[in-house]
Amino acid sequence: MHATKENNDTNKRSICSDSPMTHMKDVTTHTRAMKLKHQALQERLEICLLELKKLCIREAELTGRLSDDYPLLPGEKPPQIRRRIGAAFKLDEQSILVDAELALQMKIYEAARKLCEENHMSKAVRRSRLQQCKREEKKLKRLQETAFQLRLEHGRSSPLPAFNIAQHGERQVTSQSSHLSSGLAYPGETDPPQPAPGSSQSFIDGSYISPSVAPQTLPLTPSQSPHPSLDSMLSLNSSPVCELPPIQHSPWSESSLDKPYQKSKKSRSSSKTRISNPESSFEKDRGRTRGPRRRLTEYAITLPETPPPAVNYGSHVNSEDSNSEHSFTSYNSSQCQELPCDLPKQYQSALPHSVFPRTGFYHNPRHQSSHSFHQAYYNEGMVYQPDLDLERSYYTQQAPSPSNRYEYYYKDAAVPHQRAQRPLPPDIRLSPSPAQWDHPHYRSSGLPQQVVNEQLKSWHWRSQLKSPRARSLDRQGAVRVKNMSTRDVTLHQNQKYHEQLQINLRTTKLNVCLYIYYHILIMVLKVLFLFLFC
Amino acid sequence: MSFVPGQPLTAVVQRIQIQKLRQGENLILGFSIGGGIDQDPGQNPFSDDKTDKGIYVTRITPGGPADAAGLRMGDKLMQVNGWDMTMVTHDQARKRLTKKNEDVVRLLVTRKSLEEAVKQSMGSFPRQ
Repeated sequence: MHATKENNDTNKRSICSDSPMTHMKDVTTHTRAMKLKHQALQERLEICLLELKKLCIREAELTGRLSDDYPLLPGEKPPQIRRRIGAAFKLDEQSILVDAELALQMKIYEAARKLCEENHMSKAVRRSRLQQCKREEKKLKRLQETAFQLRLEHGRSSPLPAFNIAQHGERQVTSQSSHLSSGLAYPGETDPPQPAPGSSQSFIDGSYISPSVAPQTLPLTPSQSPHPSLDSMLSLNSSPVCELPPIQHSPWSESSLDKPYQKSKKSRSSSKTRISNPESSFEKDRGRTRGPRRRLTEYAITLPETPPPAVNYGSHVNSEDSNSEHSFTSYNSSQCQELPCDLPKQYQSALPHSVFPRTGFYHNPRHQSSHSFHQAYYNEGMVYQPDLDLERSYYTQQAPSPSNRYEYYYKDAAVPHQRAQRPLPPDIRLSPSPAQWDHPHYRSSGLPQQVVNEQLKSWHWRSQLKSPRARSLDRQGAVRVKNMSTRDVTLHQNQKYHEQLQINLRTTKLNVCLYIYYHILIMVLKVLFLFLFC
Repeated sequence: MSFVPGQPLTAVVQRIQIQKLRQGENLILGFSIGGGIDQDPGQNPFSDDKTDKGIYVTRITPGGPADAAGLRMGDKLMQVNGWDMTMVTHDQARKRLTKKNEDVVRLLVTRKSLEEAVKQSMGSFPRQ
């Protein structure tokens, strides 16, 4: 840019002082190469001048006066400019505030999330961090919604202008954090010094952005095109994310390597008295044996609390399984109306005591799917009785799942729920029940005894109606035959039936997968226990 | 020895193999380390770049195994038995060096003098 600007300047000068210079140039540029170069440069110059003119005109339309940079040939008069009517660029202070808060809240949420992902935490700490994280997430969502509303109201066609501000707000936050930390210079930081003091002022004053700061931010954003700011924001965001988490909480310390490794770090001086060996080895052994067990129990408990997208197959399980389960629970609710709603709560309190890694561990993959349900569905359909055996008792913790996720599922499920309830409930009920009985660990343990018994009765009744051929192992086939035998099924119902079949097929495939995983997990645990005790 | 995040790091390294010395129940190495990504790099007396969070050798027991192997104070550990040491916490570094069942550690270390030596040797032979 500088080069071209200088080029422009010098060339302008050479053009303005026109005739004597060109004559001299003709004499000096007699070689062909020189002439060609000269020609090319002149063409470039013209292009640049045209661009400059256009830009100046645009600027004049916006600002109302023509800038001094406008290239004028001698004798040419400045063009007439018309200020664009209605180009009122007043500051939208409210949305700036919201956007700044949004940016801050995003950072807070990010930090809370990172805290949650830290290893080696006690149960209480982990729980409190998770709660904190969820609170921050809710706040973030509220802010996002208000920001979006504001944007809609102000009729911004593309979210970019506001997004720029939000990004710039975020940039402010990162620059602020960089100031707060030990003054490390971020390599990619291109922030002009202006926003930084502004941002420090705004954030120190409790996230109130004074109007003096706001005008600073806006003029900067229109001057930047969206892409560079995005890129710089991304680069800024990525570097703080990589660098900041291992926060420099400890001063630079040295530790002697002559001692066996102990978990609790010794402080600076290397001339420490050596801990007696039996003690240290005991500590280590204890740490070792406790470690895996602790991990298992934590896994058993905390997996319900992890958000579904965190586990790859788990999320897949979620989407498939929850759909089917929703349709399934709808049938349950249609039959058994009086499932006590407080039972799951009792269960929640009872569960933390009975944590046993072995079985609880296996149910976690399954549990992953169940926890995406909306709480209400659980109360209706999936109540666990205390007299189920230990394996099934693992089914637990209806930990509050991330709100947006289960709202989504709730809406999704509401649709099949309505559709499925209308036609022939007994017929449709048949199809999930064979699926259910096939994998008792996964299915029947999710139902109370009465429901199971009723299902069984209806199934027996149905099976008596069926022809022997229909009792094939292929459930899909069985259902299809049964479908033909009942002549009063309408086309509409057939479609639903087909969908239900598909769902069932998916769930059975899923169950098979889960079963396999279940076995793999059993193996892994056995191996682990073997290692522990030998 | 400063690094640019995202860019590969190149350094002139020396391989040092230290045979741990058995002293009673412990296997000792004979040196002390400092640094780590969870430490404040500004207080590192050995690093040239004060944002370098690598592991540095801070003290060497004279006559110990490290001394005998050629480790020098101020060396930056790049790898230990193949494990990276440039992006580890202090504790992780200690762990990797003081494993009970290993009695030999093979280190890759770098120091300023190595780089200078290489530059000098390259400078004395003009490129052909």
